[in-house]
Amino acid sequence: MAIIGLDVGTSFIVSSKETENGIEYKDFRDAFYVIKPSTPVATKMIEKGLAGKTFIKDVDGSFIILGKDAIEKAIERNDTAKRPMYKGVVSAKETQAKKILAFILKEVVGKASEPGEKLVFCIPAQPIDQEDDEFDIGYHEDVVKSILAECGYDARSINEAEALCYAELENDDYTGIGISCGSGMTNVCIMLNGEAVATFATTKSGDWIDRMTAVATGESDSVVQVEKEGGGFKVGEPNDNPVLSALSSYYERLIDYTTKQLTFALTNNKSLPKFKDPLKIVVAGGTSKAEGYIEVFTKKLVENNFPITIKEVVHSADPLHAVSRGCLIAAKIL
Amino acid sequence: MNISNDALFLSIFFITFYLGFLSDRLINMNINEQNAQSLKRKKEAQIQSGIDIDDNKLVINIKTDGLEKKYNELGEKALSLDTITSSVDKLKNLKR
Repeated sequence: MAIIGLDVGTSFIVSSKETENGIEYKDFRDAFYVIKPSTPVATKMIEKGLAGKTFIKDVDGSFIILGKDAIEKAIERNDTAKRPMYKGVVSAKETQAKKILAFILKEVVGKASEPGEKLVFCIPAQPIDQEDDEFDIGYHEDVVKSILAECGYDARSINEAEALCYAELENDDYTGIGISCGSGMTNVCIMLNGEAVATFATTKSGDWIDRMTAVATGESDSVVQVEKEGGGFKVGEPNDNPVLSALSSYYERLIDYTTKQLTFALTNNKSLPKFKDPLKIVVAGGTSKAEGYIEVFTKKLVENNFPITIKEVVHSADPLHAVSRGCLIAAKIL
Repeated sequence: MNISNDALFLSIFFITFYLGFLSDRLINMNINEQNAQSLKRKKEAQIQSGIDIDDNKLVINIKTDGLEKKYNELGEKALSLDTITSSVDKLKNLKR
């Protein structure tokens, strides 16, 4: 029976499974853009224009463009693509969120090869910097589980940063700290010999950088996102391009905020064990891919008096797939 | 005479205003205290009875039937020549 790991992220959905040749990952950009034609002629024109793109047609006649094509189309129309998820959980703001998320998940993982096939997906931890009734991890988990059950899977959830620790801390006897810097949230797990002793999250990450840069430069979030992913800037260093300059600056502020929150959450935390050796910190996630991220992160940890002795801060070798890989490992042991 | 009348009027006005302000605060404090006590009583009653209502949001009917697919395959595949066997074995040992 095949086993599947699934990273259900705000920006990317990544499935993983073992094959004879290694691990096969399937990535899909978690975004959509809706075009509702006003006349039958417009319907034909739009459908013609979307040839070769990834899209679906809804019963009301609207076209829902998916993935990176959605971002391209949004930029073309000077607009911003939508997300089925917001800050790590099913978006309560988007009325179509659940339907689109269900469609994407079903397409990415497909039907279970046999009823009850095991699948482990990740969920975020409760954030320490937000008290919002709309932020309902339990509901998010139930929604994802229900969608996957419909596909025939026996789906179980684990914490996102815990999955990262499973993927990256093998050589450290599964003792250390995993930090998953996604689009919607930054998730943290402190692990001791394979047991997650503390997990928490903050609600500011890649999307916060995009939003703040968009406000500062007057560009749309989608344009900022594309510029950000194109690189060409170093965290904390000035840049001639105004968008890249703003990105660099907000990245530094985000890292400062995250390391301060980490320090605050772990200082005088009585539930933490006494670690006899300095800990390794492993960082992954799309937001951590910016040049200079790890250097600035390490510097800020020291500046903000991080309370645990650190052996080293390392970047995952495969930051986009690490959480999904961890989910796959968890699926084998759960 | 006029000045002392004005001063008297102003004094009475400010004293009345201050008394009104004080009594309003006292009434509000009383209401807040009553609310807090009422909430405390409710919580205590809930703890004593051990009965709580499950107010978790229900997941209802996420239908995707009406969506017509207009592409061949969703997502990009990547193969990593990696294996998870040793990770799984080590974790299984630790969790024994």
